[in-house]
Amino acid sequence: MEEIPLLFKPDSWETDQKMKIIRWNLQEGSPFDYDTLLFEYFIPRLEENYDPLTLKFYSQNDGTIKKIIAKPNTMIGYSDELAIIETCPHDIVFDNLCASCGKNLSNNRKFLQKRVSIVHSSNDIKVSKKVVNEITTNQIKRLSSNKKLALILDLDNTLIHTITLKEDELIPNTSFEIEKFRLENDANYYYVCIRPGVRGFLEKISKFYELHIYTMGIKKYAQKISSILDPSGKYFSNRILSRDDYDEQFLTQKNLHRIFPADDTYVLIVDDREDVWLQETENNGLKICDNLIQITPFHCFYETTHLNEIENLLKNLTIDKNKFEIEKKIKCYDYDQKREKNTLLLVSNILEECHKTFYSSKTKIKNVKAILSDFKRQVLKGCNIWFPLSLFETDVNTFKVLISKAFDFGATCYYEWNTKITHTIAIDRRQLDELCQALDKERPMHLVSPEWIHSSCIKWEKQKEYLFTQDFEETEEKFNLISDKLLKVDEIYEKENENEKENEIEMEKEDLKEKEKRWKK
Amino acid sequence: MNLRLHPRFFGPRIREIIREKVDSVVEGSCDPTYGFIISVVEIISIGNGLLDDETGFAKFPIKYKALVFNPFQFEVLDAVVISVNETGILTEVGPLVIFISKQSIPEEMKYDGESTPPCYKNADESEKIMNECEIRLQIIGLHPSKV
Repeated sequence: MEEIPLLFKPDSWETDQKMKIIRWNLQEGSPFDYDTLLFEYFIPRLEENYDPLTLKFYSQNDGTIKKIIAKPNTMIGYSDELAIIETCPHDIVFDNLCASCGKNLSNNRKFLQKRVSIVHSSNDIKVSKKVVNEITTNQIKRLSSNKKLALILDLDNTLIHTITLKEDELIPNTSFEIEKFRLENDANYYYVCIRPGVRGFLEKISKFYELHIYTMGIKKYAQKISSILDPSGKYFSNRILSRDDYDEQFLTQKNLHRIFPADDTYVLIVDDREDVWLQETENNGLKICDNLIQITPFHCFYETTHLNEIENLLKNLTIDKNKFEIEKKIKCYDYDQKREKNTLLLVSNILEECHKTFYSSKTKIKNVKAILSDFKRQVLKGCNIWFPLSLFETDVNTFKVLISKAFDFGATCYYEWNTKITHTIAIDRRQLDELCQALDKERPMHLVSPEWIHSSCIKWEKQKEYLFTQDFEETEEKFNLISDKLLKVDEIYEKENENEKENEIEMEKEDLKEKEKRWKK
Repeated sequence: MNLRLHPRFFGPRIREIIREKVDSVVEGSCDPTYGFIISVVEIISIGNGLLDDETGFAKFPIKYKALVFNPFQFEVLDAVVISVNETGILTEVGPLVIFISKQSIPEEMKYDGESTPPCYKNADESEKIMNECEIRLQIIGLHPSKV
């Protein structure tokens, strides 16, 4: 509880205007709630025969009136003291209860909306701006004294790859590090494959960064994974944010302000998905968060890559789903692990470089977002990309995001054809032919699919264009790929069945032979 | 309390079933006036059932004795710390979760986020509050929540 003066500061009040209080609605010593009528007042005018309008003054917080200073019928101007009130600022609120005075604030929706969550492990603790600023300054002080920055890491497909199965299976025999566990109140078996090189990555990066986990998974899962990756708790400690700790509305989006509400100039993010880190720009567009470093997704287990797509396909293709699932369970990708290690090395180098630049004496403005943007701009520098308007007919938002991404990575984007164009984005060859004919222009140097931009950005290097010219009719191709795989699965099953049959036949033959032998005897 | 019973339970074992049902429905629940109901000690009486015209369920008024945990304002409790963060300490007493904000923690106890696990400690580190510590606290406010 603290005693503060109550000031007269209504919205839309001209500073030289004066008013007179008619009467106080409350007496000294009486308590009041949020939004209660405190007093009525009017604005006196010089003209005679003027019937003044009665105005009402409502409280902006709750508390008790200690002493009334402004007596009725005295002239009062803007920001004059009206009374001394005793009030609690309700800086920290836990589950709708004020944590310092114990008052239940659940009726006070407007008030609660101003409170934000800041603590990783609990969504119930909400704090005011004042406390947020306090915590943020402490955090920055702590980080800069250790010469560290903050880094938010994603779990699934970034550090690990998990599948959940209903049945207990043997861990496949691969060179990957795979762990199997179950969670409380959960019938599923979890198979976690740790990305090769992750432990080294964490070890290296934790020297420069304070590590946070932000995952869409549930809390128990996140804690289990962190105990596998970090048994002693030295990397992540309690800085784990899971699905249970944020509001329903953020289930499809990750929100940087949930962890760092006040200041995001010392935070970087590593995630395999950019579409969860979209931010709204000033002019109502969507933009990928500046703090994000996208990493190539990590997949270990066989064909869970496009699981959703496959499931959609399966609905149409009427293939026995169970069959497919069994196949999915056992198989593991078997590729060179160096690739994964290189991916992590690339990211850790970028992170190290950002850290070095941030703490070098040359950098005056301490903003890691700007530093990262500078690095990004080198990737597609000098590319002039033409986005034909016909692209936007199908999916406006996707391409808007794509353009902002290309722009962030240093490319210049055009809607109209000009001679400077080096790359043209097309999703469909036919569409491009039509365009070129209509414009009666030579074909631009490179025709690439949108994948080219994504791939270049994720690998931090301009990719060879010819790899991405074949990718038109992408969706069709994907469909073919998947259906091929499904056919393969079926083939494998048929083969297995055949083998079994053959075995049976052989067994029978052997039996017959034995019987024959006996007969002969 | 009133127990609603599905028609499929109507039969010779109905009293037994009611007893089981009371245990399973009531135990572990939280009542705004009585607090947490931890265990049903005995069922005093099972009143006459009343059929609901619309659903076919029967409603039985039941009197029972139960062991409850009913925390009240200004009560002093011993609690176990479950998590420590920069805004305060989260503790639990059985089913009750209690938060202590840093405003209510003595000034000399400072938050240390770097140590693992994070803790509140005083200047000479003779006292530390971290996970699984036992602390004594006074409740300043509470309200029943969804259980």
